[in-house]
Amino acid sequence: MSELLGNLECEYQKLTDGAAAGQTHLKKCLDDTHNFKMNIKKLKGYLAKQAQDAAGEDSQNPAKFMKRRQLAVEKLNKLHKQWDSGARKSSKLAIQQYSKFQKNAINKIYDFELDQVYTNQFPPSARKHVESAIGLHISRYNLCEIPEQDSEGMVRYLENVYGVNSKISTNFVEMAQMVRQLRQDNLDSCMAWCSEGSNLEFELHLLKAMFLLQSGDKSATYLYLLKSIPDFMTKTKKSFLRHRVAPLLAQLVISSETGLKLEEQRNKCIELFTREYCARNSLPFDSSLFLVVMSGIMSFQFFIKYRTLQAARHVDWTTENELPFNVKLPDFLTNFHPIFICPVLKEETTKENPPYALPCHHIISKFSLDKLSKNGTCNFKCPYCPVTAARSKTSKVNFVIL
Amino acid sequence: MSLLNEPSVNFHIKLNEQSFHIPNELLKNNIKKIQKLVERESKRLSDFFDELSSSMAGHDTQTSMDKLNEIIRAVELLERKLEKRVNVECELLKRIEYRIEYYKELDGYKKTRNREGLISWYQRYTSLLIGDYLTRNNNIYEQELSTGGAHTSLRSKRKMSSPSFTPPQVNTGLRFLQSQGLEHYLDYDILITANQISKSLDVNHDLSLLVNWIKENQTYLSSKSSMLEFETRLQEYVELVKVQNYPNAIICFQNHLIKFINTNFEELKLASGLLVFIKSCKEQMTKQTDTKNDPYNLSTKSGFCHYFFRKAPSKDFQSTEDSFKIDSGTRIPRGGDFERYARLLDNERWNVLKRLFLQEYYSMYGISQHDPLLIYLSLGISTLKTKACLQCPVASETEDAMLDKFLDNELNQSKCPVCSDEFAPIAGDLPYAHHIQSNLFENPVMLPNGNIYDSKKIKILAGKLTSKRLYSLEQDQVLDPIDRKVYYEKDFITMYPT
Repeated sequence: MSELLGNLECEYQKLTDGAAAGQTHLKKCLDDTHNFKMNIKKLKGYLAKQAQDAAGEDSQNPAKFMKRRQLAVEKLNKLHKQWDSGARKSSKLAIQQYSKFQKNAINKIYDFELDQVYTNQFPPSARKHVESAIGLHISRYNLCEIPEQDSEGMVRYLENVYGVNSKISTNFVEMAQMVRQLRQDNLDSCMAWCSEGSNLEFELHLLKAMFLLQSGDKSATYLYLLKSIPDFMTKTKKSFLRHRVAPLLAQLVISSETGLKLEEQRNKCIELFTREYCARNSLPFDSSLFLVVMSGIMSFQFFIKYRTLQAARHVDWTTENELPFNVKLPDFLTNFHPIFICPVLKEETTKENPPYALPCHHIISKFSLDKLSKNGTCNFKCPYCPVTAARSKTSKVNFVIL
Repeated sequence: MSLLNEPSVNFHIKLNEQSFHIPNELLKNNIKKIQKLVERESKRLSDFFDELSSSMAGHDTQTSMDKLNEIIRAVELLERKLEKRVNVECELLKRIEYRIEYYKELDGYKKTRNREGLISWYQRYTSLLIGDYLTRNNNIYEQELSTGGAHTSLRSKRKMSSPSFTPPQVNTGLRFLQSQGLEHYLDYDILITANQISKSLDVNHDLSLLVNWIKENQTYLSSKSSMLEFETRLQEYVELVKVQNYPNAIICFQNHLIKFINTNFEELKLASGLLVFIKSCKEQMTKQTDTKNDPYNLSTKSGFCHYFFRKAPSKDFQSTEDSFKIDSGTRIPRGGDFERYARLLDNERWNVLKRLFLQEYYSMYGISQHDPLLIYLSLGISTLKTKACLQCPVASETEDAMLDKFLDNELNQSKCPVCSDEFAPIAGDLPYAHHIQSNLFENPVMLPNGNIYDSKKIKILAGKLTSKRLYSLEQDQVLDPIDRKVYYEKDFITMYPT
């Protein structure tokens, strides 16, 4: 485990088990106070009884009564002293413990302030765009959790509560309703929606069979599988999916419900469905906000490192309008636009400096082409192979990612 | 090597130091309150016990019994108070526990290399950032909701002094967090209090919540020698002057402002001057009202001054106005610097006050001054922004809208978050990412028009177009999704980008 996390957990444990296992000092103080109260009550009862007896017996044995009374008073005072020192001690120990937690856990995780890296601040006018991104994000992911059922109500709710533009949220209403039904074990609308022969259809069949099996109706499960699966296989020729049915059939035979991965299968169906729904309706599967935040999380440490370096060494970055460091992002964040670094200039190609193909099918940027050909006045050798090229024989190219 | 090049758990924890720091601060506050309570009660009980002892010694049974009952009542009361505090402690400790579990979950996903788990963890992380943003900026959405219940909610808010209470009006951010089951992961109560106080300042121009907060946190503020109290009281004074409530303005000045005489002499001079100045305006007003066609209510003094000074952006303009007034026989002496009064009367001061308050408030709890979501977005956009982003659409269009939609969707550039409708308008001013390596694709082939594609993918695209009956292509033909023209596979030229 990460060392900071381990330390945090260990120090936290010390907090909760301050006085005893599962009892903080504060809780002990409360318990002591409670006992103190109960004991005073008991003694009060005792004293009241003594007084009554004393009155009834007409001071038959006043010495004895006095002695008992004296004892009770002494006991009371003792209880008070005990409680008093206990409570003071507990609160003192609690304070010490929290400062210890601060010192041993909190101070150790403090390294930097978030604000330090916020050098490129958004103007106030950016907020409305950020808010529309939030609206899209909520419509995409959180629409099926809102307390409204009908489509109009859903759109209205998002508009009233989060200020989401109805044009955006409307796109996701149908999807959210079907996801909600899937979560409520209702597969009909999704089954009707999915395209015939798709993987989604297959997975829905499996999910349906699992529902039947869970309800304990084995013969219905068997009949359902028999009715839907061979048919699907012959239509689609996706016989490689056959192995997925086997565990279910095995479940049928050995009658135990432990191996039934129903929730997993449901989530798989929901994932497949949302993917297909977004693709069919040209909606983004990942919200732009999520992708940008992800990239923000990935790059945060580089920004922090740069800040620290900059402060310590007074270095500055000369290339304007470009970050001073490279951040390696995961592939799902880098496949939107192609990046071509000119092998000669070691610079990224741009609109002003686009890539050009040489006759030998190697590619360099326009600036290096101009340089090598001395602005088109002479032939030059390709920097990567022995072929000679003239600028007139080169052509501008454009990379496109599909 | 991590799964998504994501930072380590250690870094994540450092990045979210706030979510451990805040509960600990609240815990420390709680325990300090308990210590005071225990000290006070212990002293009281000691007195009681002394009295009890003496009455016992005097054999006064009735008084002793009464005393004893009194003691029991006192202990009971203390017990109840302690119980409340213990519950607060318990809730705060739970917060820390939830958060530790949250990072343990991350640790688990990283260890088992569970990509889906990791992605869903980051989804929740994003939701928390959204929840934080919505909580801090609550007012923009709830204006229509708050107009109905503003008065009642304000009154009940005033009664509640501690920051850890549930607000009568559900904050949008809190509602969002609750719908996601994430309310334990964010110290929303702290943010809601900040939101309510700052909202009451810039929307309602109401100082009462802020004044209460200042009273509660006097020690912290004076230890930082903060100007917040002075600025707040000055605003209170100015507002009283604006509505011509001179007696109360003077009382406010004497009670709350005079103690700042050593630190803020200039401002105090200005404030006292305002009293005189506003009075001199009085006679002038009636004459002015007829001549000026104004959007403000010039029949009141504050309206007049407001109008007059908001309209005076430069000194030159000031002096012309100034001489104009001399001409019309005012008692205001020539050459007075009226702009400084203007600044004092300007409503912009509410905004300044709000910012000052938020600054003190956030730094007290060690919370970032800027909305974390905005910070992440700023870094994230820059890291994603390539030189090809934000260019005008390069693809040409056909007559077939269905086909266009399909092809646009097939181009990866259409999914770029930086180029999306939401972020494109704010991405322009941010720096580009820095790349040291080409990021292209397998099997690059060039079509005669100069576009380079992954040869497998362009062929798959042709297959999809045919099977979806969007475009009829021969066996060896492909459709270029950029210029939307047909090319033959035999014209493919294999490229060697390095």
